[in-house]
Amino acid sequence: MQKKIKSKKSQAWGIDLTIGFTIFFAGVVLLYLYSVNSSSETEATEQLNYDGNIIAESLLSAGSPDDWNSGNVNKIGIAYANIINETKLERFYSLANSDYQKTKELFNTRYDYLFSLSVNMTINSQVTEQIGKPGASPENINTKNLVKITRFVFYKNKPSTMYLYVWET
Amino acid sequence: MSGKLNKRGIFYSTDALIALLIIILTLAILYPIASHSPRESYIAGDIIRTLSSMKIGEIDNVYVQNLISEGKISGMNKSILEQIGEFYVYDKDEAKNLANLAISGLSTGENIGIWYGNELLASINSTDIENSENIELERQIISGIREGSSVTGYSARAFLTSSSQKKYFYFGGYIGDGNLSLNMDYSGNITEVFLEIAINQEFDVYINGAFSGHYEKSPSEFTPARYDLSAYISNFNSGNNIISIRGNKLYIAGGYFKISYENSENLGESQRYNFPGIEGAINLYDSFYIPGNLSALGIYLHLNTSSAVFLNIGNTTVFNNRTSGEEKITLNDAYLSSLLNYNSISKKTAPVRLGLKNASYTSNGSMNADIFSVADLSGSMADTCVDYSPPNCCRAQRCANQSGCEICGGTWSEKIGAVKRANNAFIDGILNYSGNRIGLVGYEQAVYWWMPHNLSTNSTSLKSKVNRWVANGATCICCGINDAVSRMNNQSYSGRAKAMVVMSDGQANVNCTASGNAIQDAVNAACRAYQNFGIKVYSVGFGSDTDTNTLQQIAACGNGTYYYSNISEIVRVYETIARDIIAATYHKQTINVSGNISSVLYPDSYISFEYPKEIQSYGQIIANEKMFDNSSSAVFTVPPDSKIIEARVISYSGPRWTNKIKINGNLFFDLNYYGNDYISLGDPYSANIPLNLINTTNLIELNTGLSGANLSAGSASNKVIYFILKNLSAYSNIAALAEGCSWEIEFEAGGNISMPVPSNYSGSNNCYYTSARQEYSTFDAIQTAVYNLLQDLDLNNNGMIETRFSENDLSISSTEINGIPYSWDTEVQVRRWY
Repeated sequence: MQKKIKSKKSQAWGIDLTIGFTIFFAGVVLLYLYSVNSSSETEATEQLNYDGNIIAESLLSAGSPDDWNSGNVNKIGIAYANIINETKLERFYSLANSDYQKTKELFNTRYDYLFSLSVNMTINSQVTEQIGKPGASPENINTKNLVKITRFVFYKNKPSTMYLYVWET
Repeated sequence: MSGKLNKRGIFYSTDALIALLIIILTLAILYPIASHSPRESYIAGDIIRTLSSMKIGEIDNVYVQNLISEGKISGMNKSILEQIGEFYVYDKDEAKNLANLAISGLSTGENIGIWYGNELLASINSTDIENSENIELERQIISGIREGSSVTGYSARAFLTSSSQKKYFYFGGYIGDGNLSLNMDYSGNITEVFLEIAINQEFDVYINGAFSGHYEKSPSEFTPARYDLSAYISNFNSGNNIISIRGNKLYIAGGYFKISYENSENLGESQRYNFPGIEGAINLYDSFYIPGNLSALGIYLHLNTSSAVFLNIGNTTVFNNRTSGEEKITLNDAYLSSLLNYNSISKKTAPVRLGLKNASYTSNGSMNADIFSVADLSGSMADTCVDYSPPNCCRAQRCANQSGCEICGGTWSEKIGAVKRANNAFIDGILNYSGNRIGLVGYEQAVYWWMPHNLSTNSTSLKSKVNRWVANGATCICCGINDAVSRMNNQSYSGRAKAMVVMSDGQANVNCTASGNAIQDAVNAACRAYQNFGIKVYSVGFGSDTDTNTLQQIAACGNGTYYYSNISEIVRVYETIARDIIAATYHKQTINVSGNISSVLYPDSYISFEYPKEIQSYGQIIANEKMFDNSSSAVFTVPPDSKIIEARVISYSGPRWTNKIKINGNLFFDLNYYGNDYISLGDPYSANIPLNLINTTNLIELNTGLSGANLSAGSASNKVIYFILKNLSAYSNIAALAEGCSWEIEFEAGGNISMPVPSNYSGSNNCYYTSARQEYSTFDAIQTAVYNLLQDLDLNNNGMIETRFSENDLSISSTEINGIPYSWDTEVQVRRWY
């Protein structure tokens, strides 16, 4: 009888240890998964955000050369002091339509982008909603990481908001 | 409890559960922070940048266009930020409307607001800033805007376009003898005319043949008189004028006409020396100055003289002949260049001498003089304490000396002391010339034995006597005069000039005869001295209680001159008298003509010269006069920011020649260069100072003499007359107002003017620029600009303006400037909060 009681006591300790270890291991796994997922998501977003800000700054500059065109452009810029130059906007539109990849190279980014304003743009007498990746629109971008850069501009002598979407394909 | 847990075997599970709980809690806390940390935003900076660049006139908006058409927005080039700022000052609602409109196109989930100062004008937000955890902001300062203040600044420029000019027409060192005339040429409207000359007789002035006043002679040949002819301005004509000075055997020992006239064109350098007109015995000692390297010279003489006339330039005779009636003689450059070394007279003051060949000019015309100083030693001459208080403070001889007087708050009136110093200076002045003697006569109730000193050349003995004089008793002027006459008759002799100087501070009250009239006795004594014994009697009224009338009668009857002096000036007056008496003993430059010679030099005669002229800079020409500090020197300064264009030393040398003049130690005129016998040389009245020798502060030293071996001091009436060129414009700082005011301005030449600036100003603001008061508002751009200009015109900073002008001469341009860096500002903030 004495022996039987001792055996039941040791079994209880063994089960306790097993359950405790299992719980602890689950906690460690949970922490690992969180940190891995969180880290990778932050890095990707930050990179997108970084590239997005660079592209936005480039677009809100005058570009280079100052009177650039598709043949000599070194840097795409469509504004001065955040006031959009419609001529340069048209050139950007044309360049993005004809050679989207070149615009990405000029923006020095591997991500896709889409440029739009809070008001419809009128380019070549046609209403244009966005400039950037052909076929893409803010509604149909299918990606895990996407950033939206918002800037204040004047377009056609009216205050407006510039949006720049940057995402990883 | 623990024992129970241990017994049940759940110890490790419990620990693991606690650890898991901690992990979950940690993740629960960290996740929101990591996932909700907002990214960097550029919106606030964009708003500041865009609104400060976009012009209000470029906005495509109906509301803004309405504001423009209503005139609420005036400056189309203002930035939106500036326009909001202007509304922020004038109309808060419009400021808010415009600010909301400016950011109306902003579509973002962020909270954004625009603040001016501490006031929110517009925002796009989903949460209130009061509940935010973080606020980021971009800011910009807008200059020229402050709530409750003006949003526009003013800058004004004031400049003088004064057409008022001054011109001097100089007489020579000696012009005689007879009726004299001067050719005066100017163009414009004359406003003032002054004549300053040392002349030997009373005279009449005729301007273009019209009588223009009768005037008394000057005090002496060393001391000119100043005459105001402004009452006869109407006799002048723009162009050429002939001014005639007529009297009995007149001669002028230096002087000038000074005119002020209106003409907007600055006259260039003169290329001509005009001879004066002389009708009588031609006797001219003068000079002329060629400012550059002489390239051609011509002389035109218009003469009518039966006696031969000679003309010397430097020491070279270029003409020596008589005329047959009225003749016009021309000496051309070819002839003159064969006689004269042009280099020797270029950039120099060259003496000119024109005289009658057969007249005699005494080579040593000076006379030795015997002079008595007759001084009042009556009780009223005692040194006293005046203006002391309280009234009983000076009891018991407490104020018998200066220190006691000052303890009682009084002023020590040192009359006898001042007279002693004056007599000592007088002794020096007279005995400075060898051969002269001086005697002393002190008088009070009578002339007591210890008061006089016989004629002597011993200055130590004479001064010792003066220093022992004490004041006491009554005033017996006739006693003093009679005693001096008696001593003069006993001690002097013929061939010597005789004079006495009678000084008194009060009224004669002791008789010398039974007439019972002490005053008449004094006058009679003076008359007797001159009429019976040839002793000239000069008189000096000393102090405020002097009997001016009696002393003037004494001088008039004694053929002398009356002087007045207060205590502070008595020494200078005695020095002047000494010079005048000495001058009267010379006859150096006057002419002694045998027979009845009549000669005429017409005033259209001239010497013309050509030289390369410098181009004169543009600016306002200002004439300045600086009196000599004493009889031999002067210090004058050239004001800052000005260019000197002409400077002359004028010298009242009397019968002597001005022979040496230095500036800053550099000898620029030396009559000895032309010879030591001055009788054939000209005597410059005005000598030009080479401009390259003039510094900011300058010391002028001048000597006169009778020959190359003789050096004497000159006259304390000498001056430096110089012209400076100033670019007279001044600006204001940025100020809130540009209204102007009515100015009261005091001029150096005397008198104040009141004038509105700008000329159409009709408000109630008053500004002052006078020696007593200088007031203006620094908040008014026009007032500030005018004040700055007046400061520039006040060359010696004494609150009086050197250049006279009228309101028509003062031009003001005022410019309203927007968005200028201003003394106040407002900070604009665009805040983003979350």
